[in-house]
Amino acid sequence: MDFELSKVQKDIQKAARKFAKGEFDKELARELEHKHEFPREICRKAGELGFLGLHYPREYGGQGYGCLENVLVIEEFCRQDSSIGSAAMLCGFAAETVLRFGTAEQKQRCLPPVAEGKAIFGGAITEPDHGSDITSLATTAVVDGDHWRINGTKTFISNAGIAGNYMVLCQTDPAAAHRGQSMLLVPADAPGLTVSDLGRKMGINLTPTGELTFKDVRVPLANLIGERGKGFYQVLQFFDESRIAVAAQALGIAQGAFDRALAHTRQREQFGQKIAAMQVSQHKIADMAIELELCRLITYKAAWTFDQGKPDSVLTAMAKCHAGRTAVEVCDEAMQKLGGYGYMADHDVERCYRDAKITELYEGTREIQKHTIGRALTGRLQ
Amino acid sequence: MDIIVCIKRVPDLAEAGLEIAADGRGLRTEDLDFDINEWDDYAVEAAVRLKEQHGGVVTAITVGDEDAEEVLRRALAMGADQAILLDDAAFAGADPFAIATALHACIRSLPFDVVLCGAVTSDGASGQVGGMLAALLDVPQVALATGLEVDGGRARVRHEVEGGLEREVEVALPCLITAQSGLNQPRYVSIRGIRKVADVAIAARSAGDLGLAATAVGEAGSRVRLEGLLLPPAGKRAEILEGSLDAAVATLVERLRERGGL
Amino acid sequence: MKQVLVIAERRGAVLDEGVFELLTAARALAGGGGRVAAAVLGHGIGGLAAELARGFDRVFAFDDERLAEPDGDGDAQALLPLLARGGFDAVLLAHGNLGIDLAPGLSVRAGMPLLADCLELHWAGQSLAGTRAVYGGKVHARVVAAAGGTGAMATVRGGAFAPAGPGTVAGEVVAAALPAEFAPRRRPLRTLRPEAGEVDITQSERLVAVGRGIEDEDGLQLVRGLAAALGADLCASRPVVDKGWLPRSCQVGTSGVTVRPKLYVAVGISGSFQHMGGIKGSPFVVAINKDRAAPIFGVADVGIVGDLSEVVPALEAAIEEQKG
Repeated sequence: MDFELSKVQKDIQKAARKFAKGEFDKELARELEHKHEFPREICRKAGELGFLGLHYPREYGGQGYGCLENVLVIEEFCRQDSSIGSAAMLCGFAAETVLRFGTAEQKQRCLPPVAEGKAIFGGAITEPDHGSDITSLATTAVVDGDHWRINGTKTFISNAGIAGNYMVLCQTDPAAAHRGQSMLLVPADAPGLTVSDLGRKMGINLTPTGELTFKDVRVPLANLIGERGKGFYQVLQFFDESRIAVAAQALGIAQGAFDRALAHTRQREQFGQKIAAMQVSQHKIADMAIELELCRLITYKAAWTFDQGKPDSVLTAMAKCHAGRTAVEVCDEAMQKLGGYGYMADHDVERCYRDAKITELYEGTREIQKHTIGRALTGRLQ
Repeated sequence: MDIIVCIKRVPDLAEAGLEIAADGRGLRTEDLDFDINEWDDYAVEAAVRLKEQHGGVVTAITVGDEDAEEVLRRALAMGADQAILLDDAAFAGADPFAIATALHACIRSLPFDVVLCGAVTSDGASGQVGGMLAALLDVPQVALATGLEVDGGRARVRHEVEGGLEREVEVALPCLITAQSGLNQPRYVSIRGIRKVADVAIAARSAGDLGLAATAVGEAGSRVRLEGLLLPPAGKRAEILEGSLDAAVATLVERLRERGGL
Repeated sequence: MKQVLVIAERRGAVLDEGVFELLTAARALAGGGGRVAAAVLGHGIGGLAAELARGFDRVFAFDDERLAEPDGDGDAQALLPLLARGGFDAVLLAHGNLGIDLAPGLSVRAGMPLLADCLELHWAGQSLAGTRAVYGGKVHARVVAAAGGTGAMATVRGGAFAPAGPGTVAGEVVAAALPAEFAPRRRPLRTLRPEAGEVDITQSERLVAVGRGIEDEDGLQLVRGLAAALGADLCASRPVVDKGWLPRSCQVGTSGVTVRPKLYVAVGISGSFQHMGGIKGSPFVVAINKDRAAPIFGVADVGIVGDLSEVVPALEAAIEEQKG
């Protein structure tokens, strides 16, 4: 075993930290959140420096690194600023479906602009009536000559309205339930595709969340991503990768809240002594530090396992489940440590607290992660 | 153009609580983050910009152990072409003169037109190494540069001088320049840069490799001996106005009135 | 009984006041029966040499048109024979821009140890010893020159010693010649004066200073309001000027302007020596900072620990109310 990051990984971590410290201005984050606006300029710079698609192969604009390197960048970004970090982490959401299953032509078309921070990607899986349970979908795609014709509605779609391309999971064989689903690549300007923003959310307000409505949207047959009828399985495989990124997001947000709480604890004096000197503070800080360390270990391990070519759904689910819970709990404790200051909108911890919760909801709720873990384990017992 | 840039890895002190190590001569480093000295970052950026304008080779040098390699890799990722790590137990405990001695021994065997150093470090803060190195190399030097252009065998340098003024001066190459904040805005290290230099071998040189006796460097070769570190005496402390904001502000207004400040 | 040399710095046609702080240090090091000398370089500096001779026992005046502008590289060449002749147990300079430019090279050429940026100096046996601030002033280091017969140099932090009063020594002025091999390697092109600001803060009696702690330009607006309420002028520490929020002419410190106000309100200023070195006289110092450990509270008379965005407007309101 070797728990040490490589020199290159440490360099990547440090480069990401410096970039985030230099560019992620908290005033800007507050202003963008207020205006419900995506941090375009920061993502463009991050892309230019190679932070965004670093896990894509070089031939597709990436840097040829793996999931673990991506985790290190996401962690540092979210640690510095939970909102800007989350937006940067999400701006290539689901582009990995093209990366893992797409044709060379699709990859060439979609990935370099995302890696360079010039384009945003979106993934459309959830439907108004199908959230955690996507074994059958109401959004359909049928072959119409040399095109697919898509009809239906997708909801809670990150990057809706700002993405250039969407991966849309469609029922292409209604009789075959989850064995009849396929992924289609749909450009945002396809006629018949309309987007409505779902408005403000509790957190991650720099990324829009919206609803996509497809009315006889036609895309070429060549826009099939991966295999016809394998969409459901491809989504599950995609989650094995993307949920590690969510775990990293949660880890970074938690670390950022912890950093701020620790700094406050060291400075603040009450009743004639530094609150850091009070045992109750020390225990709280210790509890948070323990959780963070566990969270980091399991997240890095999930990423490392993925990079070994052995993606492990159970480990990934554990990482996401634990990191999400840790983020919510550490942000809560951090706010408690900051007292009234933490509750004020002028303090970042309030934003961390709101941004953290999504990590327990999207890309599989906490319950779905436990379902994945539990079923695998009890299945093995039988 | 051959450009040499001398850099140092220093602890990041901004948010850290400092503790003096048990031997009383250094800091406890377990909980500290380290990075390139801020002023050395300006020096690296200036070096890389000179190369971008005029072509040539940038060589980054540091004195330190294996951990110090990270600042060399950073310089490489920013655009330096090669890096040399002066690594020897004999270098330990060096004062600025002994550091300049080691750097000089390394640089004298290299071609160079411009040597760049940070004007000062955030740890030792003496601001001596650059000027001493220039004297050892016997080249003209300009300290505290806030502007630098090289053209036709001469360097035109803007630098901070007496009375808060700046002066523009010209020196012939080869020369040594120390970089002050304001000289430039260092670029971010890109992942592309990290990838490019991931496999670049960093040459390590010992005192012996440089033709230096162990007694000429490190603590033995130092002209100033560090006796020990201590926490600054508490001294005078301001009267800190406690209580609610309103109460504190009211007292402050009172103090200002007493002192004729209103 | 020691021989101490002070290298005087000049600013244009006048002496830098730091030289009289160095005189205090030099007298203390020289001890009873010791002698203190000064060296001054420039062109047409007879008046400066005479001024120095009131406080120093000997003044070496290097008067030459080639020395018209201070030049750390060239001045070292000029001074080397004086130092090389030996006889000085200690050579002192101010740790300002010129000292940083001049002392390291000169010390190497003269073969003298250099103790940089000292807060205090004393003899440890026959060796010059001192205390200096390291790690951003959070730690002090005790240093001592290695034994050796050539004497030692030190640069001294501004404000570390109280300036000596007007002297009555009637010291000897010696015209010092430049060495035959003197060949300055720097060609001065022009001296840039800071763009004239709206106000000349060197003349201000009340100053409100802003530092890194204000975080953004909105913070600057708050502080402007406070300054207006106090009838004070605005100045800044280096980071604020580096960010371009205020002009260079507003920068107080060793690399900026020297001010001598009666009231100095430091908002979000950590209190680095570089900044505090630009404040002379003994103003009433008020510090507002969120970090209780900030060094500014070690020099301020009165302080409030708190969030600037709360304290500054509250103080402004209270002052306005007081004024009626």
